[in-house]
Amino acid sequence: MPADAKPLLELRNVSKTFRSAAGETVHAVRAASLLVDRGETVALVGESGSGKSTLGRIALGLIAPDFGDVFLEGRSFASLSSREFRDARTAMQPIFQDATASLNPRRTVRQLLAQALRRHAADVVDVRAAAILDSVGMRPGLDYLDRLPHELSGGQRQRLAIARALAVEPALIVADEPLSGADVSIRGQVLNLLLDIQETRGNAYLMITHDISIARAFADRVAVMLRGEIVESGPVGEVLVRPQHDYTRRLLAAVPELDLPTAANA
Amino acid sequence: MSAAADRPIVSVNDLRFSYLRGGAVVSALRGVSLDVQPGEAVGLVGESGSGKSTLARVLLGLAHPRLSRIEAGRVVIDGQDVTGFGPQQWRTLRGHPLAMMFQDPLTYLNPVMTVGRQIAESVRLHDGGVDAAARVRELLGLVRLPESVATSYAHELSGGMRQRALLAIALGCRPRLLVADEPTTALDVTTQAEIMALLADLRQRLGMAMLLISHDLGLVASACTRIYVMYAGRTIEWGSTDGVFKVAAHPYTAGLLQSARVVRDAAGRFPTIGGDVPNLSQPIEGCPFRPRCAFAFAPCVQMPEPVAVPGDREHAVRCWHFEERVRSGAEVTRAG
Repeated sequence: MPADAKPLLELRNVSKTFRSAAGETVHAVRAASLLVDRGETVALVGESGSGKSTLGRIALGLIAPDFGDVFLEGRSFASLSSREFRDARTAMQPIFQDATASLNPRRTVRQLLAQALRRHAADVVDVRAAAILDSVGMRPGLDYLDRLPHELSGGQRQRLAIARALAVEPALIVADEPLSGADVSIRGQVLNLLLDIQETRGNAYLMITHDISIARAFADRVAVMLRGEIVESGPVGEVLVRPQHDYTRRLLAAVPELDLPTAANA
Repeated sequence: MSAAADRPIVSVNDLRFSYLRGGAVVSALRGVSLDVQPGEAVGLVGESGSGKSTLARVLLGLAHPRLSRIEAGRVVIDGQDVTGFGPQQWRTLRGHPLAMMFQDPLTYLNPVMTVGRQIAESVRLHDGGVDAAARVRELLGLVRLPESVATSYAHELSGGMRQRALLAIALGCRPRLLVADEPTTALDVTTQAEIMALLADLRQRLGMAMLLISHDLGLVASACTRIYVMYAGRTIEWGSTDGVFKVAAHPYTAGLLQSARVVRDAAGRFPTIGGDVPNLSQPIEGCPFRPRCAFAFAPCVQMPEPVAVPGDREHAVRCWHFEERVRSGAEVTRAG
């Protein structure tokens, strides 16, 4: 951890209101505050309509809050020049739920990665792209460069989406439901990949999920959102073991428990 | 109800089924056998591409008559062989012993017709003479929706309410078996818990059987007394939920159970099953799990017949590795 103790990302009292098609006002996010430190994993848990994805987009600088402020390494988004803001956004990369929808179907793997690698000289793009594919388990990466998204399996497309986020060496990856839609057996592969990446690169994660069991197993800290508000936050071992808020308790109680023999007798 | 109470509502025997997709023949079901007895809750577990939803469509007669074909095997519904049924014959059967509930209610609800009219339509299909309005109120009550929902349109309802509306339509036909295909996958966990509690309650009150199709082992375990595990178009292990969870005789079942728990191992890693599910438009020789299986050995180039799990008459598995373990007298706990 560098000497300055500024958090990597801080959302301070951010609010965002939308107007629905019917003309109603929707308070998507209400005075939410959230900290993400370097190298740590924070899970943002909530049900659909809780505002968690909106908060994720505010963190990425894709949506400007109506009130409140977002700080990257202590610097307010509002104070940045447009060039600095672009750099700040590059430091934070999204991975979205539907990998297939986030990949242009007419671009090859090489082209998809080249967009993210455009700061590199043209002659090293292939080498860099192949190395990144290797690092997400698509080996040998060179063999994948000429393929189109539909020629990959679902698991490989999710890996490609992760590879693309990694290409710019972000300090923070905002993963919005990266596992919903993934099969049970693929889920572990993706989570392990995210862990491996963090071990070697030291990046932070903001993992947005409805699945409290994934938050429990994957994150260091958790924030629970309900109707636009963060109702409870803290270390996973506290919030999900001794929940204080009634809603967190209800979320925990609603997860079907899978009581299995331990692996010890396998 | 005139049907014999002791024969299965649904009986599927070594079913093979294929359909055309973009010029390719997809052999989606490659040997499925399954029974559902009156009143029982049976789970059908598998990942995407396992064929579990295809099976549901075949059971409901929803398979495309020209673009798909039953290649072999038999489907018997309430004592009647429906294997060769065409669309006309299905129409007389559908809604009678079987009804279906889907993952995405919005796709199956008519957006320009009130919920009440859609329920009434289902009621008339089954009980021609009855006072449909009274029955609609009764059905809304059964699924715990306010009567005012009868005049609502699908888009005015929340996800959980839509799923209840779809359930009311299904119940309008007084089914003896509800086929529920991922009924709560698109819902939030708290809503999911409400719908599952409602289904359990309705099953008890109406004496209705359920075939719950899901990728979620926890959900199936909490709702079903028996389960079938599917992989690449085959039923590979079946038995009581307790038995299958305790023994997990097939390496795939064992891997699925490990992965489903989302708990890290001693090294801080999540359990996985390596590799990918096979492409069902290609021929598969032998056990379809072989390329991903840590225990694959020479005999696996052929698909084994079901092997009974010792000490459990209901529990069987199609796995050479397990067969060998039983034969060598190894203590049968879990695949490993």
